Amino acid sequence: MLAEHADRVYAHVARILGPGGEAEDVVQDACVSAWRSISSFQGTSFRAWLFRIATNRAIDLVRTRRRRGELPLEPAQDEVVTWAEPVAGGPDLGDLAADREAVRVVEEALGGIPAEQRAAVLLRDVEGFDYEEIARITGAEVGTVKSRIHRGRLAARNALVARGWRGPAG
Amino acid sequence: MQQHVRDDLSAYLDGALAPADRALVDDHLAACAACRAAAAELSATARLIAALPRPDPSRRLVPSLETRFAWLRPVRSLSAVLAGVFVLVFMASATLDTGWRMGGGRAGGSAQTTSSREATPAAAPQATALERGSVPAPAASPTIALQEQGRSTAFASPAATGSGARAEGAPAADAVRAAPEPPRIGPSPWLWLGLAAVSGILALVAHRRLRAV
Repeated sequence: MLAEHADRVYAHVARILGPGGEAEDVVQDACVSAWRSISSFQGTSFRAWLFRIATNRAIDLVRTRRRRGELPLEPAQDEVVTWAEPVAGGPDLGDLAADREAVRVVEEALGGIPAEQRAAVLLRDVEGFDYEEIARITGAEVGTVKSRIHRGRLAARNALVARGWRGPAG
Repeated sequence: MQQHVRDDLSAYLDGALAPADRALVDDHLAACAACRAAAAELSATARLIAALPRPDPSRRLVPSLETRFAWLRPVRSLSAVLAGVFVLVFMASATLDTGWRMGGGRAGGSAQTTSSREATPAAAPQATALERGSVPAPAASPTIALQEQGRSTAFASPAATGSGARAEGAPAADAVRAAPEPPRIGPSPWLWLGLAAVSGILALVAHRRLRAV
Protein backbone atom coordinates (compact mmCIF):
# COMPACT_ATOMS: atom_id res chain seq x y z
CA MET A 1 0.00 0.00 0.00
CA LEU A 2 2.80 2.38 0.88
CA ALA A 3 4.61 1.56 -2.33
CA GLU A 4 1.47 2.42 -4.32
CA HIS A 5 1.25 5.91 -2.87
CA ALA A 6 4.85 6.81 -2.11
CA ASP A 7 5.68 8.21 -5.55
CA ARG A 8 2.56 10.39 -5.67
CA VAL A 9 3.25 11.64 -2.18
CA TYR A 10 6.78 12.39 -3.26
CA ALA A 11 5.53 14.44 -6.23
CA HIS A 12 3.29 16.41 -3.87
CA VAL A 13 6.06 17.03 -1.34
CA ALA A 14 8.53 17.91 -4.09
CA ARG A 15 6.17 20.63 -5.31
CA ILE A 16 6.10 22.07 -1.81
CA LEU A 17 9.79 21.69 -0.89
CA GLY A 18 11.40 21.40 -4.29
CA PRO A 19 12.56 18.09 -5.76
CA GLY A 20 15.53 16.27 -4.33
CA GLY A 21 16.87 14.44 -1.36
CA GLU A 22 15.05 16.51 1.23
CA ALA A 23 11.63 15.72 -0.26
CA GLU A 24 12.61 12.07 -0.56
CA ASP A 25 13.66 11.99 3.08
CA VAL A 26 10.35 13.56 4.11
CA VAL A 27 8.37 10.92 2.21
CA GLN A 28 10.53 8.08 3.48
CA ASP A 29 10.11 9.31 7.06
CA ALA A 30 6.37 9.63 6.50
CA CYS A 31 6.23 6.06 5.17
CA VAL A 32 8.13 4.70 8.16
CA SER A 33 5.95 6.73 10.52
CA ALA A 34 2.76 5.52 8.84
CA TRP A 35 4.01 1.95 8.88
CA ARG A 36 4.88 2.06 12.55
CA SER A 37 1.50 3.45 13.55
CA ILE A 38 -0.60 1.45 11.10
CA SER A 39 -2.25 -0.42 13.95
CA SER A 40 -3.65 2.83 15.35
CA PHE A 41 -4.95 4.03 11.96
CA GLN A 42 -8.69 4.56 12.34
CA GLY A 43 -9.58 6.59 9.26
CA THR A 44 -11.14 5.42 6.04
CA SER A 45 -8.45 6.57 3.63
CA PHE A 46 -4.90 5.37 4.08
CA ARG A 47 -3.89 7.61 1.18
CA ALA A 48 -5.25 10.73 2.89
CA TRP A 49 -3.53 9.70 6.09
CA LEU A 50 -0.19 9.34 4.33
CA PHE A 51 -0.64 12.69 2.61
CA ARG A 52 -1.42 14.27 5.96
CA ILE A 53 1.77 13.02 7.55
CA ALA A 54 3.93 14.03 4.59
CA THR A 55 2.24 17.40 3.98
CA ASN A 56 2.58 18.48 7.58
CA ARG A 57 6.23 17.46 7.68
CA ALA A 58 6.90 19.35 4.45
CA ILE A 59 5.15 22.51 5.67
CA ASP A 60 7.03 22.33 8.98
CA LEU A 61 10.26 22.08 7.04
CA VAL A 62 9.38 25.10 4.90
CA ARG A 63 8.67 27.13 8.02
CA THR A 64 11.96 26.05 9.58
CA ARG A 65 13.88 27.02 6.46
CA ARG A 66 12.16 30.38 6.36
CA ARG A 67 12.97 31.04 10.01
CA ARG A 68 16.61 30.25 9.31
CA GLY A 69 16.56 32.64 6.39
CA GLU A 70 17.19 29.84 3.86
CA LEU A 71 13.98 30.81 2.05
CA PRO A 72 12.50 34.25 1.46
CA LEU A 73 9.57 35.20 3.67
CA GLU A 74 6.18 34.25 2.32
CA PRO A 75 3.46 36.81 1.77
CA ALA A 76 0.93 36.92 4.60
CA GLN A 77 -1.88 34.44 4.09
CA ASP A 78 -4.54 37.08 4.56
CA GLU A 79 -2.93 39.45 2.10
CA VAL A 80 -5.53 40.71 -0.36
CA VAL A 81 -5.04 39.18 -3.79
CA THR A 82 -6.58 41.26 -6.55
CA TRP A 83 -7.62 40.13 -9.97
CA ALA A 84 -5.03 41.25 -12.51
CA GLU A 85 -6.66 42.54 -15.67
CA PRO A 86 -5.65 40.58 -18.77
CA VAL A 87 -4.32 42.45 -21.74
CA ALA A 88 -5.53 41.73 -25.22
CA GLY A 89 -3.31 39.97 -27.71
CA GLY A 90 -1.99 36.98 -25.75
CA PRO A 91 -3.18 33.41 -26.09
CA ASP A 92 -6.33 32.26 -24.38
CA LEU A 93 -5.90 30.84 -20.88
CA GLY A 94 -8.00 27.85 -21.82
CA ASP A 95 -5.51 26.81 -24.50
CA LEU A 96 -2.48 26.61 -22.24
CA ALA A 97 -2.64 23.04 -21.00
CA ALA A 98 0.06 21.86 -23.39
CA ASP A 99 2.12 25.03 -23.16
CA ARG A 100 5.38 24.30 -21.33
CA GLU A 101 6.00 27.96 -20.72
CA ALA A 102 2.60 28.29 -19.06
CA VAL A 103 3.34 25.28 -16.86
CA ARG A 104 6.62 26.82 -15.80
CA VAL A 105 4.85 30.09 -15.00
CA VAL A 106 2.30 28.23 -12.87
CA GLU A 107 5.06 26.38 -11.02
CA GLU A 108 6.80 29.64 -10.32
CA ALA A 109 3.58 31.25 -9.17
CA LEU A 110 2.83 28.37 -6.80
CA GLY A 111 6.39 28.58 -5.50
CA GLY A 112 5.78 32.17 -4.46
CA ILE A 113 2.65 31.64 -2.37
CA PRO A 114 2.52 30.47 1.26
CA ALA A 115 3.21 26.75 1.68
CA GLU A 116 -0.24 26.15 3.21
CA GLN A 117 -1.93 27.65 0.13
CA ARG A 118 0.30 25.68 -2.19
CA ALA A 119 -0.43 22.46 -0.38
CA ALA A 120 -4.19 23.10 -0.47
CA VAL A 121 -4.22 23.90 -4.20
CA LEU A 122 -2.11 20.85 -5.02
CA LEU A 123 -4.22 18.55 -2.87
CA ARG A 124 -7.33 19.78 -4.69
CA ASP A 125 -6.24 20.22 -8.31
CA VAL A 126 -3.56 17.52 -8.59
CA GLU A 127 -4.66 14.91 -6.07
CA GLY A 128 -8.41 15.49 -6.30
CA PHE A 129 -9.18 15.54 -2.57
CA ASP A 130 -12.39 17.33 -1.62
CA TYR A 131 -12.46 20.28 0.75
CA GLU A 132 -13.34 18.22 3.83
CA GLU A 133 -10.50 15.80 3.16
CA ILE A 134 -8.06 18.67 2.65
CA ALA A 135 -9.23 20.19 5.93
CA ARG A 136 -8.47 16.91 7.70
CA ILE A 137 -5.11 16.52 5.96
CA THR A 138 -3.93 20.03 6.77
CA GLY A 139 -5.67 20.39 10.13
CA ALA A 140 -7.49 23.56 8.99
CA GLU A 141 -11.13 24.60 8.89
CA VAL A 142 -13.02 24.02 5.67
CA GLY A 143 -13.50 27.80 5.31
CA THR A 144 -9.73 28.26 5.54
CA VAL A 145 -9.19 25.56 2.94
CA LYS A 146 -11.64 27.27 0.63
CA SER A 147 -9.81 30.56 0.99
CA ARG A 148 -6.38 28.97 0.48
CA ILE A 149 -7.42 27.16 -2.69
CA HIS A 150 -8.97 30.27 -4.14
CA ARG A 151 -5.97 32.44 -3.33
CA GLY A 152 -3.56 29.87 -4.70
CA ARG A 153 -5.42 29.58 -8.00
CA LEU A 154 -5.78 33.31 -8.24
CA ALA A 155 -2.03 33.77 -7.73
CA ALA A 156 -1.33 31.31 -10.53
CA ARG A 157 -3.94 32.97 -12.76
CA ASN A 158 -2.46 36.43 -12.09
CA ALA A 159 1.05 35.19 -12.85
CA LEU A 160 -0.18 33.89 -16.20
CA VAL A 161 -1.99 37.12 -16.97
CA ALA A 162 1.17 39.04 -16.09
CA ARG A 163 2.95 37.05 -18.82
CA GLY A 164 0.47 38.22 -21.39
CA TRP A 165 -2.07 35.44 -21.34
CA ARG A 166 -5.63 36.55 -21.57
CA GLY A 167 -8.82 35.15 -20.24
CA PRO A 168 -11.58 33.69 -22.41
CA ALA A 169 -13.35 37.03 -22.34
CA GLY A 170 -10.18 38.96 -23.14
CA MET B 1 -21.95 41.56 -4.71
CA GLN B 2 -19.58 41.04 -7.62
CA GLN B 3 -16.49 40.71 -5.37
CA HIS B 4 -18.34 38.29 -3.12
CA VAL B 5 -19.15 36.05 -6.04
CA ARG B 6 -15.56 36.13 -7.26
CA ASP B 7 -14.32 34.97 -3.87
CA ASP B 8 -16.67 32.03 -4.06
CA LEU B 9 -15.82 31.03 -7.61
CA SER B 10 -13.23 28.37 -6.76
CA ALA B 11 -15.54 26.67 -4.30
CA TYR B 12 -18.34 27.00 -6.84
CA LEU B 13 -16.25 25.30 -9.51
CA ASP B 14 -15.33 22.54 -7.05
CA GLY B 15 -18.93 21.92 -6.02
CA ALA B 16 -18.08 22.89 -2.44
CA LEU B 17 -20.75 25.55 -1.92
CA ALA B 18 -23.91 25.07 0.07
CA PRO B 19 -27.00 24.82 -2.19
CA ALA B 20 -28.22 28.31 -1.24
CA ASP B 21 -24.81 29.90 -1.99
CA ARG B 22 -24.55 27.95 -5.19
CA ALA B 23 -27.93 29.27 -6.30
CA LEU B 24 -26.76 32.83 -5.59
CA VAL B 25 -23.64 32.36 -7.69
CA ASP B 26 -25.67 30.75 -10.47
CA ASP B 27 -27.99 33.75 -10.55
CA HIS B 28 -25.09 36.17 -10.55
CA LEU B 29 -23.18 34.40 -13.30
CA ALA B 30 -26.26 34.38 -15.47
CA ALA B 31 -26.25 38.15 -15.37
CA CYS B 32 -22.52 39.03 -15.17
CA ALA B 33 -20.22 38.37 -18.11
CA ALA B 34 -17.12 39.51 -16.17
CA CYS B 35 -17.68 36.94 -13.46
CA ARG B 36 -18.35 34.24 -16.05
CA ALA B 37 -14.99 35.10 -17.58
CA ALA B 38 -13.34 35.01 -14.15
CA ALA B 39 -14.85 31.57 -13.50
CA ALA B 40 -13.56 30.34 -16.85
CA GLU B 41 -10.08 31.67 -16.07
CA LEU B 42 -9.98 29.96 -12.69
CA SER B 43 -11.18 26.74 -14.24
CA ALA B 44 -8.46 26.90 -16.88
CA THR B 45 -5.86 27.67 -14.22
CA ALA B 46 -7.00 24.67 -12.16
CA ARG B 47 -6.63 22.45 -15.24
CA LEU B 48 -3.16 23.83 -15.78
CA ILE B 49 -2.18 23.11 -12.19
CA ALA B 50 -3.53 19.57 -12.56
CA ALA B 51 -1.33 19.14 -15.64
CA LEU B 52 1.89 20.06 -13.83
CA PRO B 53 4.63 17.53 -14.59
CA ARG B 54 5.08 14.95 -11.91
CA PRO B 55 8.55 14.86 -10.39
CA ASP B 56 9.84 11.36 -9.77
CA PRO B 57 12.07 10.37 -6.88
CA SER B 58 15.64 9.40 -7.66
CA ARG B 59 15.37 6.32 -5.46
CA ARG B 60 12.74 3.92 -4.25
CA LEU B 61 11.20 5.30 -1.11
CA VAL B 62 9.96 2.10 0.53
CA PRO B 63 12.30 -0.75 -0.48
CA SER B 64 14.07 -0.71 2.85
CA LEU B 65 10.76 -1.44 4.54
CA GLU B 66 10.02 -4.33 2.19
CA THR B 67 13.33 -6.03 2.85
CA ARG B 68 13.54 -5.10 6.50
CA PHE B 69 10.25 -6.74 7.30
CA ALA B 70 10.36 -9.69 4.93
CA TRP B 71 10.60 -11.98 7.95
CA LEU B 72 7.03 -11.04 8.79
CA ARG B 73 5.69 -13.13 5.90
CA PRO B 74 6.55 -16.54 7.42
CA VAL B 75 5.46 -15.23 10.82
CA ARG B 76 2.08 -14.32 9.38
CA SER B 77 1.63 -17.72 7.67
CA LEU B 78 2.77 -19.71 10.68
CA SER B 79 0.62 -17.72 13.10
CA ALA B 80 -2.45 -18.17 10.92
CA VAL B 81 -1.92 -21.92 10.67
CA LEU B 82 -1.26 -22.20 14.40
CA ALA B 83 -4.40 -20.21 15.17
CA GLY B 84 -6.44 -22.68 13.13
CA VAL B 85 -4.77 -25.68 14.74
CA PHE B 86 -5.32 -24.30 18.22
CA VAL B 87 -8.99 -23.66 17.48
CA LEU B 88 -9.41 -27.29 16.39
CA VAL B 89 -7.56 -28.54 19.46
CA PHE B 90 -9.71 -26.30 21.61
CA MET B 91 -12.90 -27.70 20.11
CA ALA B 92 -11.75 -31.28 20.55
CA SER B 93 -10.54 -30.63 24.07
CA ALA B 94 -13.73 -28.80 25.02
CA THR B 95 -15.84 -31.68 23.69
CA LEU B 96 -13.89 -34.23 25.72
CA ASP B 97 -13.94 -32.02 28.77
CA THR B 98 -17.69 -31.52 28.54
CA GLY B 99 -18.22 -35.26 28.32
CA TRP B 100 -15.95 -35.77 31.27
CA ARG B 101 -17.85 -33.24 33.37
CA MET B 102 -21.26 -34.59 32.47
CA GLY B 103 -20.07 -38.10 33.27
CA GLY B 104 -19.09 -36.73 36.56
CA GLY B 105 -19.62 -38.19 35.91
CA ARG B 106 -21.04 -40.76 33.67
CA ALA B 107 -18.39 -40.75 31.01
CA GLY B 108 -15.57 -41.51 33.45
CA GLY B 109 -17.79 -43.60 35.75
CA SER B 110 -19.08 -45.85 33.04
CA ALA B 111 -15.57 -46.36 31.77
CA GLN B 112 -14.54 -47.37 35.22
CA THR B 113 -17.52 -49.64 35.56
CA THR B 114 -16.68 -51.32 32.32
CA SER B 115 -13.18 -52.04 33.42
CA SER B 116 -14.46 -53.39 36.72
CA ARG B 117 -16.79 -55.69 34.91
CA GLU B 118 -14.05 -57.00 32.76
CA ALA B 119 -11.81 -57.50 35.73
CA THR B 120 -14.38 -59.40 37.80
CA PRO B 121 -16.89 -60.94 35.48
CA ALA B 122 -18.40 -62.97 38.25
CA ALA B 123 -19.24 -59.90 40.20
CA ALA B 124 -20.47 -57.89 37.26
CA PRO B 125 -24.13 -58.79 37.28
CA GLN B 126 -24.21 -58.19 40.94
CA ALA B 127 -22.53 -54.86 40.68
CA THR B 128 -24.84 -53.73 37.93
CA ALA B 129 -27.81 -54.83 39.84
CA LEU B 130 -26.63 -53.07 42.93
CA GLU B 131 -26.05 -49.93 40.96
CA ARG B 132 -29.58 -49.99 39.74
CA GLY B 133 -30.82 -50.98 43.17
CA SER B 134 -33.35 -53.24 41.56
CA VAL B 135 -32.13 -56.66 42.42
CA PRO B 136 -35.02 -58.81 43.43
CA ALA B 137 -33.48 -60.24 46.55
CA PRO B 138 -34.98 -62.52 49.09
CA ALA B 139 -36.48 -60.57 51.91
CA ALA B 140 -34.36 -62.48 54.34
CA SER B 141 -31.16 -61.27 52.78
CA PRO B 142 -29.53 -58.98 55.27
CA THR B 143 -27.17 -57.70 52.65
CA ILE B 144 -29.91 -56.21 50.58
CA ALA B 145 -31.56 -54.78 53.62
CA LEU B 146 -28.34 -53.13 54.56
CA GLN B 147 -27.90 -51.98 50.99
CA GLU B 148 -31.02 -49.99 51.24
CA GLN B 149 -29.93 -48.47 54.50
CA GLY B 150 -26.47 -47.71 53.42
CA ARG B 151 -23.93 -49.40 51.30
CA SER B 152 -21.04 -48.87 53.61
CA THR B 153 -22.68 -50.93 56.28
CA ALA B 154 -23.21 -53.75 53.90
CA PHE B 155 -19.60 -53.77 52.79
CA ALA B 156 -18.35 -53.42 56.32
CA SER B 157 -19.56 -56.89 57.20
CA PRO B 158 -19.55 -59.07 54.14
CA ALA B 159 -18.83 -62.17 56.14
CA ALA B 160 -21.92 -61.68 58.22
CA THR B 161 -24.21 -61.87 55.24
CA GLY B 162 -23.81 -65.53 54.77
CA SER B 163 -23.98 -65.04 51.02
CA GLY B 164 -20.59 -65.41 49.47
CA ALA B 165 -21.59 -64.47 45.94
CA ARG B 166 -23.25 -61.26 46.97
CA ALA B 167 -20.38 -60.33 49.26
CA GLU B 168 -18.02 -60.79 46.33
CA GLY B 169 -19.89 -58.45 44.07
CA ALA B 170 -20.53 -55.72 46.55
CA PRO B 171 -16.96 -54.43 46.88
CA ALA B 172 -16.70 -54.24 43.09
CA ALA B 173 -19.75 -52.05 42.93
CA ASP B 174 -18.38 -49.93 45.71
CA ALA B 175 -15.16 -49.50 43.81
CA VAL B 176 -17.18 -48.11 40.97
CA ARG B 177 -19.00 -45.61 43.15
CA ALA B 178 -16.14 -44.63 45.42
CA ALA B 179 -13.55 -44.29 42.66
CA PRO B 180 -12.10 -40.75 42.56
CA GLU B 181 -12.89 -38.64 39.54
CA PRO B 182 -10.51 -39.57 36.77
CA PRO B 183 -7.74 -37.00 36.39
CA ARG B 184 -8.16 -34.58 33.47
CA ILE B 185 -5.99 -35.56 30.58
CA GLY B 186 -4.05 -32.62 29.17
CA PRO B 187 -4.39 -28.91 29.92
CA SER B 188 -7.62 -26.96 30.14
CA PRO B 189 -9.39 -26.26 26.82
CA TRP B 190 -9.19 -22.56 27.58
CA LEU B 191 -5.45 -22.74 27.23
CA TRP B 192 -5.89 -23.79 23.58
CA LEU B 193 -8.39 -21.03 23.00
CA GLY B 194 -5.98 -18.51 24.49
CA LEU B 195 -3.17 -19.77 22.28
CA ALA B 196 -5.49 -19.55 19.27
CA ALA B 197 -6.33 -15.95 20.14
CA VAL B 198 -2.68 -15.00 20.59
CA SER B 199 -1.71 -16.64 17.29
CA GLY B 200 -4.62 -14.98 15.51
CA ILE B 201 -3.70 -11.55 16.83
CA LEU B 202 -0.08 -12.09 15.84
CA ALA B 203 -1.13 -13.11 12.32
CA LEU B 204 -3.40 -10.06 12.06
CA VAL B 205 -0.74 -7.62 13.20
CA ALA B 206 1.81 -9.13 10.80
CA HIS B 207 -0.74 -8.97 7.98
CA ARG B 208 -1.54 -5.30 8.60
CA ARG B 209 2.14 -4.39 8.74
CA LEU B 210 2.86 -6.24 5.51
CA ARG B 211 -0.12 -4.67 3.79
CA ALA B 212 1.12 -1.25 4.78
CA VAL B 213 4.43 -1.94 3.05
